[in-house]
Amino acid sequence: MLLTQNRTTTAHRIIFIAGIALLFATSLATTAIADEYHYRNSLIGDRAAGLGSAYTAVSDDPSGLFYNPAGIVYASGANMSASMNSYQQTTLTYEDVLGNQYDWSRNSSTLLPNFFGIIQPLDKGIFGFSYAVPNSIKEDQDQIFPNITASIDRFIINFNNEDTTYNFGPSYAIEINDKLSLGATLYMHIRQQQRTSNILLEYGSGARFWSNEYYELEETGFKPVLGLMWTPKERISIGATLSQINITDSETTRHETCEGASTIVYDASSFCQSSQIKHRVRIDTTKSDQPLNLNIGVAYFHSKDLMLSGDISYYSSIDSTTDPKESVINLAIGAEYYINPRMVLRGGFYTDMANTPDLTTNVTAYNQSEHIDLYGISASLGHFTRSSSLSFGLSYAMGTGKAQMISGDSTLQDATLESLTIYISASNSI
Amino acid sequence: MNRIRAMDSLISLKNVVITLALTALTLPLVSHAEQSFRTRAHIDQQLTASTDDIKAEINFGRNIAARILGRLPLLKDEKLTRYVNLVGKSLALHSARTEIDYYFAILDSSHVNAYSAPGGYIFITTGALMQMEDEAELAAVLAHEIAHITEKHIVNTLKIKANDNSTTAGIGQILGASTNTTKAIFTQVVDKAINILFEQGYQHQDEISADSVGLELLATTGYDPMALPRYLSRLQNNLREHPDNASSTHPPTQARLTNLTAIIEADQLHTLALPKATDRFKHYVTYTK
Repeated sequence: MLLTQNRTTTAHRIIFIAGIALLFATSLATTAIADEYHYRNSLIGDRAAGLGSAYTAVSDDPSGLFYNPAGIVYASGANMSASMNSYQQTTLTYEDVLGNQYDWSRNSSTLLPNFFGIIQPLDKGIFGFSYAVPNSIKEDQDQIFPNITASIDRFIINFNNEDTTYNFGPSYAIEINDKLSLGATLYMHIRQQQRTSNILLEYGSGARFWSNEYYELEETGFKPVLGLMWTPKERISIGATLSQINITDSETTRHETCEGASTIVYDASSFCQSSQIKHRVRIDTTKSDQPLNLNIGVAYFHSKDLMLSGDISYYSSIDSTTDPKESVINLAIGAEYYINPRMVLRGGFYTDMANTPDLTTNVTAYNQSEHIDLYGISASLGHFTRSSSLSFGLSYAMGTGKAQMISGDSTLQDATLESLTIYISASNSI
Repeated sequence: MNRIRAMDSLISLKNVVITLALTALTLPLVSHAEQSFRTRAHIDQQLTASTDDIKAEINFGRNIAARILGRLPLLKDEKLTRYVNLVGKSLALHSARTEIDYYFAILDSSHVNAYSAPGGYIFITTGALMQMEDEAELAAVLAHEIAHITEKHIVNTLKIKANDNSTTAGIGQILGASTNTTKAIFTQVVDKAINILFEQGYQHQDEISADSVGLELLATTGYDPMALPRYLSRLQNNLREHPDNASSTHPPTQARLTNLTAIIEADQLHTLALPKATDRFKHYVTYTK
């Protein structure tokens, strides 16, 4: 909990906060959902994570089931891998949301197994099964802002958002010839989200405004991934994948409750009214469109000790009246170097661009989604024994952008997102 | 309530994932593609066999031997068993792997076959003994089985090696990369080995390799090297008359004979005047066709 003690009593502030209260009263607060706006929220797989996820042209271990199933035909043997206990901490700060100097800060920390994969030769190809958590966030905001204006004694916000996406399913890959392999993964896609937002404004007059929103999303679908791995010449590998999530079932449930403040004038259509506790439930089964994703990667295997890789990822735009998405291009580069046969160092750089449009400062532009482009680095240290390996790694991504946190208001806030992931992973030959 | 539902979903997901993953482990093994330039530096340490690997191989072979004896009864003929062991151990002294002890036993079965398990466990059926006419032929069959062990055909196919007891592996087990499914996996691999011995057979190149190495071992030990092609030719003829006794686990005999003939001619082995020890064989082996 953060207790903010700054006080400003300018006329502008009073008008601003009065506006906030009215806007809350009429439409409740919008909530930013950081991970929906990016496509690279978790780095999957120990080796791939160390390389900044520049893995489309490598993919020759169980992580390839996720990155490029065509690569698993080149795995060094039947083995199983787990990138377990990935701890991710994210801090998202919106500056001056309640006027100058009052920042909103949302923190997320998750500890979860984010990948499990197993591959096994079968007939003329390689069969695999994998489980991945490409996105998991548990956001919390628990802040009290006292004495915002002369008339508002206290502003309390409690916000909690849990949003996790699970992928699991089989893969199969075959070698077409000594330079080309093809593979496919059919992931089951499950996304579960629960969000609670509770806001209370206490006025000096004793009046209160209170709103509470509970939002739940249950979404299922499938995600086919088609992969290709081509070796145009010795030591050089080119990989490509094409995938798209297809939502087959989706339901959102929204419970909204509020009580208006007596200091605010409401029109008849307002959901919130003074001295009345209102409650409504809205259910929506609209299936969201998802972008087409094309990844192309190249890897150069210089020697047994050194490998370099790079990826370019394209996500198509989505035309939607309620949730449009811009097309996105992300880049990743990585390097792997063996200090000795037992120790390997990996490092990578990657981008994680926002799929939202740049925010406009037009005074009539309301409820714009935040736009924060992220740039990240990753590093890992791996230790090998004869039949197993253990990797310890971390990745850090940071970016700044704009957000519009108050529903129905055109004011923009500067936003900063920082994400640190620490992981320890193991793989074992069987 | 929703958290409980979410947790239930996660538990269900985990069960599905584990079940499907273990199912994948039971699938038949085949070889897969390789691109040598993808080989990373850590692979080097995986290629060197350690003392622990040999112990693991022996332990694995002992389990397979027990399973073989569960399928086919042991012949309780001490005198004959001792004789077969003397012949087999003479060959083993000249084999490429003297670090393991070899054990030879006779199975009371009319099927014409011989089996070898990793770690030095070798079985020959009474049906096979009945097809032989001299000690060199017995030695030839045993040499072929010894070669399967020295060349580690099952060990390499099933990637048998010692458990990794290092700290790294231990942490890996805690993290779930290698879980308590290890015992289940071991049992499944033993099943696969039994399947190779009784149903699927060795890979063709492994059988040809065992013939080649066995032929060399036979001659090195001092037995007539022509015993192996002679025995195989007789089998080929006899089994045309009694196909029920045929082994389904070996490649076509003609292909093996062609390979042996090529080696014999290349190395001029047919010019060696080495003994067949027919009288001694007939003294101990009194079974008749």
